[in-house]
Amino acid sequence: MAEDLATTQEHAATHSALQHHFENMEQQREAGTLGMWVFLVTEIMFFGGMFLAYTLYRSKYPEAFAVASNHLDIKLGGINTAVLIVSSFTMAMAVFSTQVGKKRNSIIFLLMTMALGLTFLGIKAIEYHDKYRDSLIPGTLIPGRPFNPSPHELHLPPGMPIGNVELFYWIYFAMTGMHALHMIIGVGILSVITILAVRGRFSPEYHAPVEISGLYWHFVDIVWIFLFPLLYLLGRHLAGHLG
Amino acid sequence: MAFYNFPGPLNAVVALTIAVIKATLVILYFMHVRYSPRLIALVIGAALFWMAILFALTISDYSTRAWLPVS
Amino acid sequence: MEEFEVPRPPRTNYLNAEYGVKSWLLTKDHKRIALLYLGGISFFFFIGSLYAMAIRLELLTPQADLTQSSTYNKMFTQHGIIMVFFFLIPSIPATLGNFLVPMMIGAKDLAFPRINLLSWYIYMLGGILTIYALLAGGVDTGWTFYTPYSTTFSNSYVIATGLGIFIAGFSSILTGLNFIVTIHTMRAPGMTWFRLPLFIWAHYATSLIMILGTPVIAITILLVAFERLAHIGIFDPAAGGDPVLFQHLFWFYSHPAVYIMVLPAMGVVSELIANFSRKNIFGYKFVAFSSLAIAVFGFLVWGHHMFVASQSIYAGMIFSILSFAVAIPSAVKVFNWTATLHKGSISYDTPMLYGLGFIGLFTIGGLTGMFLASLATDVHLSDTYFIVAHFHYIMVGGTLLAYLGGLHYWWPKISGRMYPEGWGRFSALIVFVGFNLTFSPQFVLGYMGMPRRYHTYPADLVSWQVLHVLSTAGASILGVGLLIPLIYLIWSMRYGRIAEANPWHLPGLEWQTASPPPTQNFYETPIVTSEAYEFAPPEAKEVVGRFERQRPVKI
Repeated sequence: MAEDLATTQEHAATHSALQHHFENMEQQREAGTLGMWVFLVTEIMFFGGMFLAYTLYRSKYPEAFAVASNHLDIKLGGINTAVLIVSSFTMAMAVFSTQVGKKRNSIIFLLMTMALGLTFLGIKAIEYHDKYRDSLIPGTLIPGRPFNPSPHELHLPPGMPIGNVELFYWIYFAMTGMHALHMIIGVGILSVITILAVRGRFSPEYHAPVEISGLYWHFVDIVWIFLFPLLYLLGRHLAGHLG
Repeated sequence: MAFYNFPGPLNAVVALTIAVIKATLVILYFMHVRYSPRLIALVIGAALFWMAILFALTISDYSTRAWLPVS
Repeated sequence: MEEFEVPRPPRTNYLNAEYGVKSWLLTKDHKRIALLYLGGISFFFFIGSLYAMAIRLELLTPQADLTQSSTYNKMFTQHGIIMVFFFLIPSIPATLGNFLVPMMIGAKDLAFPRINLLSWYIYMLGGILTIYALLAGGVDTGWTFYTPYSTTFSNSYVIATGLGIFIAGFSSILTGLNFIVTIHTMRAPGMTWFRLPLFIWAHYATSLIMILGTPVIAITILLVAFERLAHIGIFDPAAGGDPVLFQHLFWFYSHPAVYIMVLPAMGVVSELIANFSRKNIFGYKFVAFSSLAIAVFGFLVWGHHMFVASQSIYAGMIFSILSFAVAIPSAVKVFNWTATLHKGSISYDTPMLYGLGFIGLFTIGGLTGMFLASLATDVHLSDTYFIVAHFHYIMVGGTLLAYLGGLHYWWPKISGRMYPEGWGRFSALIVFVGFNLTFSPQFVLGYMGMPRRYHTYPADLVSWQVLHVLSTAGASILGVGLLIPLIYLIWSMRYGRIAEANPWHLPGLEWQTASPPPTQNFYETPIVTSEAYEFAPPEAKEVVGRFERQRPVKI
């Protein structure tokens, strides 16, 4: 047993993927993982600025935010939440399969993760298109189609400034847009990882890239876990008396 | 853990609690923090702490602006 | 005196390991990347200095002689943006830090060499975009980009400049990330946390701020750009937005950014003071932890920039008290440096002159900060030349002096050549005199009520003009003091005396290898057996262990 461990470590120390400035594979893996975690900290702070803006404006204009929030498609948002959580699961399985050396399984799980990611983006695109159709894209982002909720189902109660509703949609597009951008980057990373996996680059001794991409993927999932209730659900309880 | 569609009125606290639980599970198990060095937990803790600073001090401004009536 | 075998200067080192432009532009060696940064940073410092000289010339007389107010607005804005984002923030970490962090902890390179190179390209890309914006027509919002002026009213190149800063921010994030991971995972055997040189502690704290603060300014600048592009209203009161939210988000990064500038400088000064006093630093752990304390407290005080910006008075009180708290770790450092000097065997070489200058000027800068942290005095002093003088004492008197001191101190290691000591001391003196003459009159000007960012002032206030003339004269002296090192450092690269491996006879790891070091830094991975700044007496030399072999003979 101890001998096995020693030979594994010996093997790990001289792996071809070891970069020159690291002493051994363990150090390289540790550095990579910590690096990704520290990067995720920067991501948390990046989204943190937008979450702060959301919190402040929502507490300032609760009714307008509730009205605007109620117009989001909760069904599509809910499906997307499920899609992302399942994709996180398949990602975790892909990491696990790589760790135990099941190459075929890991490729299948990576492909499933990517497919689910693309499904999410597709559904997001449908939602964005609905907003475009209803002229709910804020500001002058779309030339010739300014923000204009009134002709559609989104009826503002008398006296509610349109600007406040627009503010919600601005935050909605900023946050979900930034999140979708991260999803696109994530799918890109995973396609590279999948190609490397097909070429047999990973093994139980060397699987750090799969693990690290997994961390990123899970983080993007977590962002959505918070975006969904904050954007789609909060304010539902106000829906009753606001109509 | 997977779920679909919350019905009707829903309290903000409940929704956020569920989100926090889901995120914690993802972090602990999918992201292996449960089985990782304490350093990783420290890194996450630092991020949350600094988020808390950003929120707490900014809100300290917005929540007390009305205390002093502006003439 | 026992004779030690002196290793011959190796035939190959990191400078001559490869030749050609490509070998530099595609290098993954942290030492070469540090030199790439040195080039870039010097270029931006030169541009920023030109704006500074133009500003000082304009203020020589009360009338508008050289520029109109709109041009002047662009001049001080561009001076600020270039100096803050493209000189001060990357200055010490990206050059000295990049070069020395791996060497001081006994590593072969930073953890992510490719990301390190990428960060330089990102920095240059951001810089070039900003320079493009300046050439295309400039930006006039002040380096702070305050809304709603920047989002709604300014007709200058806000988006291009903002994008430049946004991009450069990623280079800062990547540098910080690299440092944190390197310090955590790449320390040589025996290099425990409390054996780390204080330079490393300072860079660790700096990296924390880079990681935690920079993303917030990134999203803030992005929001400003979107607001300008699409009039979305997040900072626009007419749409229900709040312009003060911009200031919160902006200063959440930009106040800690001051500590990104000064913490590495403090790290350099800790090295200089301990090594040139030939003493272990007084209260090592206090100095180490004060760096972390500054990094944390630095994030709690941003509201003191907004005392007169319609921030709640109660939040103002909280921020005021917290601002005073930052003085504690800063004072710990100053007192410990002073105590280190006590009974030290001090040598007044050029780096030490800069180090001592730093202590004095940083103390003045820090204490005048107390005036501004007090709510009542800040109302009077806000947006006057008092502020300008205060932060220049920290940024120029602090960071720039430490940067120059560090550059001289490690120049033998970087270039393999000695700089001319006489010229070095002479220019250090000139810089010190010129700096004080430039900025101490500005304290008085500000106290008398001269507002910042104005290019004219009342002609009947003779005392104002006298002070402005003094300040401009000082700026010219400072300019000369900065040109001299530029000339002799470049000169020394070819004609300077060949440096020994350890010209200052110090125990730090970076001195235990050749000058200039080989590409892999050390011929064999060092094993650390002693504290930092261990100036052991000769009879205890064996304790120092294997470094002894490479200790050069005094010539």
